[in-house]
Formats: sequence, C-alpha cells, structure tokens
Amino acid sequence: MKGAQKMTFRDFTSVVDYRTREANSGPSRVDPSPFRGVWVNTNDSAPHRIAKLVMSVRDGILMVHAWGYCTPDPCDWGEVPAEVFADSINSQTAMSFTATFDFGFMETKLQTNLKRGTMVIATTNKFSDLSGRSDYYTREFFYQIDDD
Amino acid sequence: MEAGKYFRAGDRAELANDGVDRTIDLAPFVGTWVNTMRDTQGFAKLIVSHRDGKLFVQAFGAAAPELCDWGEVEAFAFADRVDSRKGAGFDAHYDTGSIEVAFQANMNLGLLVLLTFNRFKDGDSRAHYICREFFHR
Repeated sequence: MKGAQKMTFRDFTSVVDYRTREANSGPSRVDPSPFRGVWVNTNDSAPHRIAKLVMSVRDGILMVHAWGYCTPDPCDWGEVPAEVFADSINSQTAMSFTATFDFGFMETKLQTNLKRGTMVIATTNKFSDLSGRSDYYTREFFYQIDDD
Repeated sequence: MEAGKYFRAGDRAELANDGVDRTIDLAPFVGTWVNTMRDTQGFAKLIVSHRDGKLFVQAFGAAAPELCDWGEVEAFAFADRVDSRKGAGFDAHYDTGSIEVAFQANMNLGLLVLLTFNRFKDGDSRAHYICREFFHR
C-alpha cells in the first residue's frame, strides 16, 4: 500500500513502547490496589447492567466478583481473575483491567478503565446458544462505595 | 447446552425470539478513520471494511517517514442490545510475537473510540498498558 510500510515484527509497536531507563529489568508488577473495593453502577434503570462488583487482591492477583441486574435478586456471576494494565510502560499503578466470565451459553468480557474516580466498564457479550440474541456491547459507569 | 439462560434481566431470550433477522449492521464501522490527534504516537489510521459478512480492520501505526502497516485482521461486531442489529462496537486482536494488542472500539457521536490493551510477552519489564484514542472519518 502506498504511503505505508509493512509491519516488521519487533518488540515495539509505536515510539511510546520504547524501553527507557525507568522500565527496569525483570517482569513488570502493576499494582492492582486502586480497584480494590465495592463498585456500584451509576445507572439503576438499565436492564442489561452489571449491578455490582466486589474486587479484591489475592496473592497479587486482582479478583473480580460481579452481579448482574436480575429480579428479585441479583444474578451472581461468581469470581474470576483479572489482568491489570497501567497507563504507560513505565507506570506501576493500575488504570485498567480485563476479565472474562464464561457462562457456557454466553461469554462476557469486561474491559475497564479508571477516569476521575469513576470506573468505566465496556462489556462485549457473545452468545453461543443459537437463541437468536445479538452479540452486544455495553458501556457502563461505576462508583466506589464503602464495603461495610 | 440449555438455550435462553441469562445473567442479566436485559439478556432474556424472549426479547429476541421473534424470528427477526438480527445480522448486525456493519455499515456504521466501515470506512477510513483518522486519529483526531495529528501528532499521535499511537495509531494514526484505521481502515475498516467488510467482505462476505465479516468485518476486517487494518491498522496503521504512527511512524516516519511512512506509517507502519500492521496488516489486516478480522474484527467481531457487537450490537447495542440483544434485540438489536445496530452496530455499536467491535473488537479485534493483533499479535506481533512479542506484543499482543487487543482492540475494543465503540461508536460515539460520529467518532470511533478505540481502547487498546497492550501486553508485552515473556516477562518484559515494560508494564502492560492501555491507550484511548479517537478517530474521525
């Protein structure tokens, strides 16, 4: 294609990925603690919302326990491990995580980021049960509450 | 596998069991998308196309003197509800061997909002990181 060079496989994808002195040797350890706690949805009217998340850290791994909005009681999705991401290659503070809930008939992926104290969660939801339901995308907002 | 289960009230199967074709409309995504930041150091351009009912994305990273062509990968489209065929977002995945990049895109007010999740492999000292960028047609 004119005006572009074919990607050569290397260990960076743009200049922001270049190694610097701040990125020292050894595996990166991104601190997941900013996510620890109880988070609730800002929109209590959306029928396809995640109602609540309880997040904890065990052995350095961020664990995500989610509940979907259902009546009369929330649907417990169970707990899964998450993978955390920083906002740059040199940061050790988590700004984002991804997690996957596999329900058998549907797979829901959570892809999140923190913004000014709000956690933004995008979900992609893929059905495998031939029920005619469309795979769908959501974007939801959460705030943190006291966990007692 | 039992059909029709749900884990959110809005996912109930009866919302979509009317026999209507819900093939997701890919048209909202298709086109050439340019980063709103002309001096971006991330992705400068995306070409989104569809063939045989499938969605594809070709990404171009900022580089000089020419953009860096990442090649084309298949993307997967999502509607905005279980009973909708309106294209609301897509995801895609690149693997360069040493870096994995997951794309998660959604449409908002005529913009394509791209969130990338960048994972370095093999115990690399660089932190996995996210990047959010905006594109216009």
